[in-house]
Amino acid sequence: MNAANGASAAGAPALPPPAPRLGLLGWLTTTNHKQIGILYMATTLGFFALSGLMALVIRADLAVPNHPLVGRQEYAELFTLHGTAMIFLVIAPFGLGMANYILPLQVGAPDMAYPRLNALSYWLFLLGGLVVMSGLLTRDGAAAAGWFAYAPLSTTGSPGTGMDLWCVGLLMTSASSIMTAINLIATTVLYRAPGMTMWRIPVFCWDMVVTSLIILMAFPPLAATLSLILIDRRLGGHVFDPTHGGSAVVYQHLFWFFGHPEVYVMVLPFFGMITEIIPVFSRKPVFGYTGFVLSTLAIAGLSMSVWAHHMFVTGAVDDPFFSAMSLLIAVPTGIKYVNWIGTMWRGAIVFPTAMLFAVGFLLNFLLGGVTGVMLAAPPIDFWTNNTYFVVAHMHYVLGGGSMFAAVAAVYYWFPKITGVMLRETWGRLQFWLMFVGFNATFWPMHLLGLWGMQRRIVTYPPLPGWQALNLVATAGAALLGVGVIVFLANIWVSLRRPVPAGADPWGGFTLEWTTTSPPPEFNYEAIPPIRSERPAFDMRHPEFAGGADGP
Amino acid sequence: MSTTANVFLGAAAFALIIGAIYWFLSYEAAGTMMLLTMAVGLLIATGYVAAARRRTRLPADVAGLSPADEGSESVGVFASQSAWPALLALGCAVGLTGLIYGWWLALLGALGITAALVGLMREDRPARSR
Repeated sequence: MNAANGASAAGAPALPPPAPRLGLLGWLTTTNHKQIGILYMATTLGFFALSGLMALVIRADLAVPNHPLVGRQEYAELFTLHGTAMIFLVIAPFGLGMANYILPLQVGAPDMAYPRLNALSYWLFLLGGLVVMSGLLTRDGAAAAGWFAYAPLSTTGSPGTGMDLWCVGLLMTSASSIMTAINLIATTVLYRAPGMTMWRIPVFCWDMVVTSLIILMAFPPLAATLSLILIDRRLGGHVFDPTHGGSAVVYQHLFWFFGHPEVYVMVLPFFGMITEIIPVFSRKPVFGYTGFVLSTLAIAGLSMSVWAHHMFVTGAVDDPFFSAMSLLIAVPTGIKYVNWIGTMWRGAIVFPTAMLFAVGFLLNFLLGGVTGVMLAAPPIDFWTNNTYFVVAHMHYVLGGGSMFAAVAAVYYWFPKITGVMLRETWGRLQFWLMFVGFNATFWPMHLLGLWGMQRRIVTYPPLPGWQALNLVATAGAALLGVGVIVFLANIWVSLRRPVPAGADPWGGFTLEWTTTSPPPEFNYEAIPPIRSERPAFDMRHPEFAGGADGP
Repeated sequence: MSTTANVFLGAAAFALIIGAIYWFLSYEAAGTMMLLTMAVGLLIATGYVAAARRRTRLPADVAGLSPADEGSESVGVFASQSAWPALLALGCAVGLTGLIYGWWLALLGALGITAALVGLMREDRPARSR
């Protein structure tokens, strides 16, 4: 689909009038949710590029056995910063950044509830990320204790200032996330347009409300944990030091009480984005709106009660409780698959790039989910803990899942944000490069893990099968890298040689498609009546207004 | 109660129940405390939302209302530019790295934070009293 056969109501779409240039001072002082959303997404793209380069170095290092390209310390810094950046500085904040731009538009609000708090959140996020990365410039190097920084490795085991900078930087990004969560909840609850009841807000908004709730429950323990590490490191504390009456296991409890819900902070926004895209390109309303929302709430609740499945091997946790709770999460997640497939079922499906990536998400995330169920069983976890099986699992969830959904969301909302279309041909090329590249990189890791290859090792002996699979994984990573370059080139070319998008190039359902692309400063000149969760569709098809099934 | 209050209440009840089950299965203090703290936090939010709901009724919650019906209604004042948030964040970054590099940096950060907070509060006053 392109602009020419889109459903723009006002005839052939024209390019938006050139916006007044904001200038450096304008960007530094902006409190507008759309500009802050753009800042968030551009920043996450920068951290993604840096973190992706680190991943490529890691894969190059592991391409052949007994031939490390970097030293052990540098390797530890690379995997620590790669994980930290992807989790804290790319995937989760991209969801928050997209919500910053889209959520106020979708609920019919003129801005976020607290614009200056919103700006503070962004600057804390950016500066926090830079503080984490600045460890690379210190004499002893950056943090090297892994992204979950177990004590005592992160306390007495890492004397360099890189670890301190890691803690301070993440403390800032935690505060940033908490503030954004407050803002998103307040905006959704208080600034919905008249008639936009909570049961009419788009699924993406529901998912952001639930994500924000998880952030409010999970991030304070992270902030406390980081502060306690700093106390142990800088102020002579022994909170996590067993030789002085402290407990290293308590560190794991505190960290994973944040860490597992954080997985859902990195997943639920992307569930929401996919659920905006699939109905539009299936030409059907979302199947089971209420069930979808309730299953999201169920996932959120369960996500808060499964933290110690990351700690089975400590032997110090209640295995049956955490195993049962973890297995239960598969039920509401399965309901979502029923929603997505039910929406596509007998729909008039079209496959622009956004939909291709959405379907890619469904396939990849399914595999990540299934291996998640396997890892919830302690006997399997004992066998595969700290192996490449876990690496494969988490990358299928966060890379094949969230990253694919993020790209889908960019293709879907780029026309709204910029007023111009991304190139579809480039998008398809990018999809196949990334889909093949991603699966070539991470699928072999399942086998490598089952065959005993540990994660976080700088090199490995030439054991049977390991060499070939590692080489395939490295080739896949290179393909993935080419896909990302095509993506960046597509954005560049599309902005340099713009193809106008019009207000609604896709025949969208939700409120943002009723305003101009890009929207005016306070979003709407006029808002149409809202009688269902598809006000834009209702406006175009008043004969079906109020939630009845469309053609 | 409103949908929002129900969401908070449901989450609080879940945390309370799971916290109790977890305690009697494991007698592990750290996790139990975190679950119970979560329940208390959510109960406070529930109470606040329920109380606010009694005082005001949002036009958004009236299913039959249209945006045009509320056309003259002011939804609030939204700042469009402010330098203080970026300066406040910078003050936080400088102040916190002072924990690593020395008290003088922490002091500098504290000064920046104070200046930014004062700036934010002054900006908040009505134009007439500025």
